[in-house]
Amino acid sequence: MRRLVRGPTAVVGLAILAAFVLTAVFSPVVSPYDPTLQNLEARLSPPGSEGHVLGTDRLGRDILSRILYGSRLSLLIATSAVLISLVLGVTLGMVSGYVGGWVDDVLMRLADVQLSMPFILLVVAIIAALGASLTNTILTLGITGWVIFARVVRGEVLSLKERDFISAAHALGSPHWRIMLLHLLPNVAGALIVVATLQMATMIIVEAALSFLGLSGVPPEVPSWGQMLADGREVLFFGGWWVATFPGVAISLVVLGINLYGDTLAEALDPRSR
Amino acid sequence: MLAYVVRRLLLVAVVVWGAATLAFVLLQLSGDPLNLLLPLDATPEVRERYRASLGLDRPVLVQYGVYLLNAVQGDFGTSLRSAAPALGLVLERMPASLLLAGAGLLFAVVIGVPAGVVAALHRGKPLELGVMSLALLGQSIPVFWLGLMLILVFGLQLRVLPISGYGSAQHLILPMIALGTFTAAAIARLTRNGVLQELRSDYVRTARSKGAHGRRVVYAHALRNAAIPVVTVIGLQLGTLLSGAVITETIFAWPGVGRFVLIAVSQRDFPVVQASVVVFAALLAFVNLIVDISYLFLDPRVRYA
Amino acid sequence: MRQPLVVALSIVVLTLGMAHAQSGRMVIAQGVDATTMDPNDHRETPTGNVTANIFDPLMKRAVDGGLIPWLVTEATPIDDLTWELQLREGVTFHNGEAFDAEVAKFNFDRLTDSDAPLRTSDLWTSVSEVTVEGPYTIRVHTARPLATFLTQLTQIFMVPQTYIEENGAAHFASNPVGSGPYRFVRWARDQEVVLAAFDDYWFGAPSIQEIVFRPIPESSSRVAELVTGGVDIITNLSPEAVPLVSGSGQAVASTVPSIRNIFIVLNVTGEGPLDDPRVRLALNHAVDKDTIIRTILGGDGVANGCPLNPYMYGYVEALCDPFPFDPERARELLAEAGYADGFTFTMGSPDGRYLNDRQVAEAVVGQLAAVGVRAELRVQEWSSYVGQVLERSIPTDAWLIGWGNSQFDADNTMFSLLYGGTIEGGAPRSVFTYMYDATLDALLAEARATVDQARRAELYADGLALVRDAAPWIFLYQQVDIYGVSTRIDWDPRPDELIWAFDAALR
Repeated sequence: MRRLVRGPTAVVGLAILAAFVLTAVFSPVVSPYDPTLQNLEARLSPPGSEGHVLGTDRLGRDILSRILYGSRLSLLIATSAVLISLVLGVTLGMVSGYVGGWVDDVLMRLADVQLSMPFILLVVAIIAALGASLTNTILTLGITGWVIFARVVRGEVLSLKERDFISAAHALGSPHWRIMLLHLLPNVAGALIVVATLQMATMIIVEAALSFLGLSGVPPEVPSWGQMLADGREVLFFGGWWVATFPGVAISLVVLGINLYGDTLAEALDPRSR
Repeated sequence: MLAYVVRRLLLVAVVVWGAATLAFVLLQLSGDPLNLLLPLDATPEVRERYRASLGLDRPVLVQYGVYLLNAVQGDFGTSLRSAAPALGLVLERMPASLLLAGAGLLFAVVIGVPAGVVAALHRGKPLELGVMSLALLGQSIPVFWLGLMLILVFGLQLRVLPISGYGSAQHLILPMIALGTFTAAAIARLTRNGVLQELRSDYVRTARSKGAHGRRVVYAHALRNAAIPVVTVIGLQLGTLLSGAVITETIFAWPGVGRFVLIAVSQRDFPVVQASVVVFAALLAFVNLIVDISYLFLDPRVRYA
Repeated sequence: MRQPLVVALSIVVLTLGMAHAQSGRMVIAQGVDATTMDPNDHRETPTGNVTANIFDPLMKRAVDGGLIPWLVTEATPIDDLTWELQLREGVTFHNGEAFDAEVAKFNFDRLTDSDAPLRTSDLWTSVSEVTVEGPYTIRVHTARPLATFLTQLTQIFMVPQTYIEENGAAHFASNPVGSGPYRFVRWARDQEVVLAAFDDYWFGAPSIQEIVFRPIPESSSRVAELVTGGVDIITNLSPEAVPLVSGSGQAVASTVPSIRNIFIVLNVTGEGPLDDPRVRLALNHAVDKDTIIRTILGGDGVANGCPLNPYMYGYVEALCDPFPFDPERARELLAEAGYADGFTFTMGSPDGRYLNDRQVAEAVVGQLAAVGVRAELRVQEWSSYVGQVLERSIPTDAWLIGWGNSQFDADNTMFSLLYGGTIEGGAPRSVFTYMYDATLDALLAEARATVDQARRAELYADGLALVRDAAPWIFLYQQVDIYGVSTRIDWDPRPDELIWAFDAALR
């Protein structure tokens, strides 16, 4: 366990992540203002004016409070989307690698099809068919993210399959599902944790990109970093650099934290570096 | 080798068919294209007349059949928005997209690989920390933020580079940096990890113990083996660079496919979306094929039956 | 950070001056590229900006919204179902082809061919036949009286018959030949459209030699190009950028009230609080339009209280005053209707379709909260949003939308948006309508079949009074279009959202 927090990068990464999670949990306590409270007369106040440490946005809402509350949404989106793609990807990747043959062919070609589909088409189709909502945005992100998990799991399973302990389990008459669940899954867990951590960072960035393109289903009164960033770009050069800058910094910081810690995890869990 | 390539090419056809079909289904789900094609107050009779003239009144399965049949012959129909062949409109924008993707990738490799090697060779020193911090930062900046900042600094304040558009080498610089930074960071990290692993491996240790010097060891052995994951990433990224350049294209008004497809999707221009998905799928499959074949040259252990 | 940027900007502007100044050339940046060069096969402003410079309409829209005879010099109603049009003589297309009655007839026939409809064909569904009466005289016969005939003539652009017959419509759509002030030179899709002055233009040679249209989707990039002299006119300047654009010394913001109104449609068909007209009036009183306009729109907007605006035929000032912002009155009305404690409803808004639309919707939600009404806002990407609106499947109880009246006539707003289809055997209700008022329907149906313009005005005035009492929408404001214009260009924007380069000159 100690390997997981060794070295300065791990400590810094973990500290950022801890701060992020704590902020998300305690945002109502630490926020100076109600994040949805508008004050049109005080819109676009620069940082430091009248109790607004980071200034106000285009509707006069306190940016600091919105960033603090926004951490909840980023956390929610990143974890749920990664969970969905993890479950999908692990299942398909495991089956693909373990069963092999035509099943493997079909599933891996499915992955290729998925990768060649413009992400936007998928997003728009889901919005049009199911409506724009937070749930559907998470769903979309989750569905698009499965391929990388599936590929990693499949690769690991392909090499594990040939090992003695799996053959032994076979010989002892363990059912396939049992082998996959009890013997294969624990052995790919390390690689999965690494990918999952890094994917969380990707999801936060992709949500921001969706907001930029006006395709995010996050309701406007709920503060989201991506939405704040997208909203502020209109005034970035002129009249309100702070509106987009601080959420941008928040995103970068958290993604940085996740990546820092993810790197440490990768090294700690990589069998070759032990 | 030849049998392998043939088999892979057949699979490419399967993937392209799959993508074409999925795109068709998604478009059907995405709603009625007539909504966006005609003025909002168009009367029902006008709408139906228009629908019939576009062949959209036929049963869905018939539309699918006709679409596949024509697509095989390279005919994706006429764009609903512009009275021009859909495939032509997509292909017309490919040079700009390929140029941007290629430049972005080149930038990423030129920056990323040396940075990774330097970091690995200076493991535990401040230089590694510096290089890797930069790489992590590069991976954590949303591309549109970076793009707008590049415009602010180089276009608005220093005024040394054009802000938007296409045509000259100068126009390429800012979009290339915006698009390539993320990949450069990813490549830097992968190269570092790869080189580190190889340096620890037995044969490099052997080479070293035989008196080969640091630099030669790196180039002759470690880098070559570390190249495999890097090539994988390059393959994956080229796909995303092509279709994922939407934001870069938007910010710098770059006339590429990504932005064009975004508009086509949001206008429900079915023929254009279908043509672009097929082009993407084929392109991506070929890139993957090339990546797999390049393993052959990079890693003597890899053999394709 | 803010101040230094301004200083840095002005220094660079001073030192570099007009880096890009090329005499005789004007670059116009819009959000998107044109989709076609066929002037009658699109309904998009960005495309119209290009084609309006290549082609001539039969009637031209004046800056005040009136009509100027253009390729039609005289239009005479023969009876309720027949118009006689005198055509301008001596007009030639850029390829030398002459414009005459045969060509005009070809143009109408092209739009009424039901096998190959164009995207403006729906304007002409009531035209039954066009006959040539002389070398420069045609008659347009309609199956039913078409009250908006004259104003619709601004939307039919003359295209050359021989050129299209010889080269085909597809070739024409990317290699246009017109009779307008500029001739087509080059179109590199998503890069630029280049037009050159047509010196033999019948109305006189244009002042600027070359016009370039460039699509620049990102608004901050458009602004950056403008203040560095890369482009000369940009569309949809954001209100927040106005002070700095004007302060750059390189460009100014130029505004004009638009033909477009922005409002929130209330879905009044269901059971619920919005069914009560007192509640709807309360909502209208609860929204502080002036503050929204002053802050979010930077002062660029005109508050209003009816579906029309002053450019439109049928507008009556007294019936269009904005509902005063009066939270007390709003509370009273809500209490009268039995909602003293307020209520909850859902509201939809697009994002980026209209100037700061989402911010406006958010501000409205904030203001309604002050009188105890909780509106839950759902923002959607435009293409799905408009699909739901048209299919009447929008999941919210209210939705924000804008309407740019292309005819400058009450009919195109009132009938399109408020006609409820209650007349037995009459036209079906319009997609936008959630108001079902038999009296209003009768007025609107009569007005559209009445050619006597004075009588039509009376009918619309009666209709406006009904609409005001029923308050089927939350009336917000008439949009003001904001353009960024380089100081080296002398040009004034127009209410119909079009950029007519003939009006522009280099200073």
